Amino acid sequence: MSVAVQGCGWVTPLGRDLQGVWTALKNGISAPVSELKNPFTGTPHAVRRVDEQFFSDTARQPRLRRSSAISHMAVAAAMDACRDADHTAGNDRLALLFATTNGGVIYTRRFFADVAERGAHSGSPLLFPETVYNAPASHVAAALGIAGTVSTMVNDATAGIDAVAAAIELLESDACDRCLVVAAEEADWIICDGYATWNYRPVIFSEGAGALLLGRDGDVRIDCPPTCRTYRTIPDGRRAMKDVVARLCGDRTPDLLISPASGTRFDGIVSELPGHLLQPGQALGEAFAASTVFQLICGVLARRETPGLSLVPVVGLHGQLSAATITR
Amino acid sequence: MSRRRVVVSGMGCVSPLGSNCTETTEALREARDCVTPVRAFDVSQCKCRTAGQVDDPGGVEGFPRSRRWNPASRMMLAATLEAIVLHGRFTPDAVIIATTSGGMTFGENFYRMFLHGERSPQAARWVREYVPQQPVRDALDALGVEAPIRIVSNACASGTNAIGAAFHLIRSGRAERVLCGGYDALCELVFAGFSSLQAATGDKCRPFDAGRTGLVLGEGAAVFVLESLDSARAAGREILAEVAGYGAANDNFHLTQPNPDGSGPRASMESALADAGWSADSVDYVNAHGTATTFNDACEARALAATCPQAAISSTKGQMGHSLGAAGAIEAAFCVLAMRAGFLPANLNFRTPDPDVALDIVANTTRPHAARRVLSNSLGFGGSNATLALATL
Repeated sequence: MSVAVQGCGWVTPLGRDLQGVWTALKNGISAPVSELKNPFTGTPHAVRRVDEQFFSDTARQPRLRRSSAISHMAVAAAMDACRDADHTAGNDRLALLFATTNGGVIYTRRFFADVAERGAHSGSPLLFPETVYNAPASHVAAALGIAGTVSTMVNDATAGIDAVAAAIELLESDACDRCLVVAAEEADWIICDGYATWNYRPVIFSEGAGALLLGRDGDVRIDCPPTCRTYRTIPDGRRAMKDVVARLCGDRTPDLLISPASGTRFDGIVSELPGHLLQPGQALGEAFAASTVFQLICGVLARRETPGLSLVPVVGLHGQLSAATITR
Repeated sequence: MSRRRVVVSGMGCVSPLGSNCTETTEALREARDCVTPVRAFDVSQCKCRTAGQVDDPGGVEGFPRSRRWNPASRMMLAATLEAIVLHGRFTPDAVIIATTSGGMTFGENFYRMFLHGERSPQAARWVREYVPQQPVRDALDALGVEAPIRIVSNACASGTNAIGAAFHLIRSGRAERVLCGGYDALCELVFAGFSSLQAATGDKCRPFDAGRTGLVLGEGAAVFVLESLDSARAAGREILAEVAGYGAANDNFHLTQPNPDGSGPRASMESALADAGWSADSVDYVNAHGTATTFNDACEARALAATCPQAAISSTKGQMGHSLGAAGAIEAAFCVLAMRAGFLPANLNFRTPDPDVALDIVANTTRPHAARRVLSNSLGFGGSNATLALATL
């Protein structure tokens, strides 16, 4: 079953304006690169950051005053998606699925730094609640008054597409009338250092949030398998991805391939897929689950411009993959 | 829309009460207090110095590689092994597991490495095993189970949410068999976190007691095989219980505190009852979230009194503490085990009823009772509330 994409919103290193960022991506403009340094070793990491001005705007919201960047970006993207859809009705039957790979890592690192450096009694009661994975979802739900299903899904980049699959399930089972899928990541030196230690080196790390408002009615439709597929090796992943795409597309040929490629060995999994290629990760950086929703939004915006089929393959670095089609 | 009946056809449980369902049933029946002084890290600066701890899960001796794993991975392995042991070659359509802190101890090691200025050869492993899906992947790999993993993390309601999500997948016909449950291992960051909130007690954990002073933490894992009733019957498998309904609600009151009026858990219980098609007065027992914090228990007691005033109530957190993302799954396992063994689990350390709320608390010792319909509640940070409706078949 496909569902309709009724609205989109994003907060990216290239800005927050839906059309403005889309135009920049199509014109091959990349977000500026800055540096995050490990304060202990001095190791620098290149990152594409969301403009600091964005945070001063959202910090005026009372509930977000003490929250981390990830929550600010998630709330902004979610509200923009509702605005994009002209969704002003009550939110009684609105569900929220939040996806992330790394969660609120800045406050988690800061909280534990206090504990590790000064003892267990030094942990801040203001920071700790923001360390839980579902804190951003809670802030989004509060901002929009969502009282029904609110759930947070954590995984590699596939969390973003798994959230879409779960949203389709909720809509199909009539558990809601509309479902917001929001994914967000925040950049921190410890994340960059961690992935580098693990020998996962994308072009450049980044941060941001993307949101899709899904419902039953609308011209732009999204579909994806109910669960991800697993893979062990790159060739194995390539086979699995081809199979997923074949099942999703049938005899239709995608005219646009929104690739997840970010400069790692995992890019090989999608290298043989058909369609005119767009690689938002090259311009926006690697923001894991948020990058997945950025891909999906690109697919939606392309379909708003012209009818056709956007193919969005998603490859996680923890052995999972999936794909979505977006049609109009 | 298809609405197939969903049953539990396999279950594994590792907790401070025991390494498997048999040990757990006995500890539950005896109302054993399994909270002990914390051994894994220094708690001398914390008011609370106890927790429900899993020494080392038994049953995984045949997996020597697991000795190097995070405790969370070993608990997941033991619980998953027990859940699928009678299923032969097992291929679920999906694996939906809850956690709040994943492999956080490895994240702590990684940070300390920088703090101490010594690069560790273990660093890459710490990063790899820090992510919340890794303990699940470790367990599946060891058992030769190939399936996609979905991690649910809605704070302390996560375990119930994971089972609920699996239930929906099967009931709607989108999946035939799903492995689901939750895990969480005790870690310093979370221990210090609850200490910082002054939510943890230096006393015993006394759910619903008028003199309650807070929670103690726990750890463990519980894993279920859920499948359609038709599938289980066709395979001739023993059916342990039916998952009859699931409800979830969000109260948006505060990041760490529930709405005192009880509207959140009340909505999730009412939703689960409606989903199951049960009347409230048909519920025999509710396994309450009951953390023994002032706010949680007051809120939940109001919801219980309004929704199921006749049902027997207990929180099993007095026996093993609060295992966070695993709690909903472990407590659902406790419900299944207690229904099958014909008793209601005890609410330990209960001394004085709260004058504000009249509930039928199963105080301090188990109560013989062949419950047929039970609810299991979970409440979490962020306003998450979830309820499972479980029944004998």
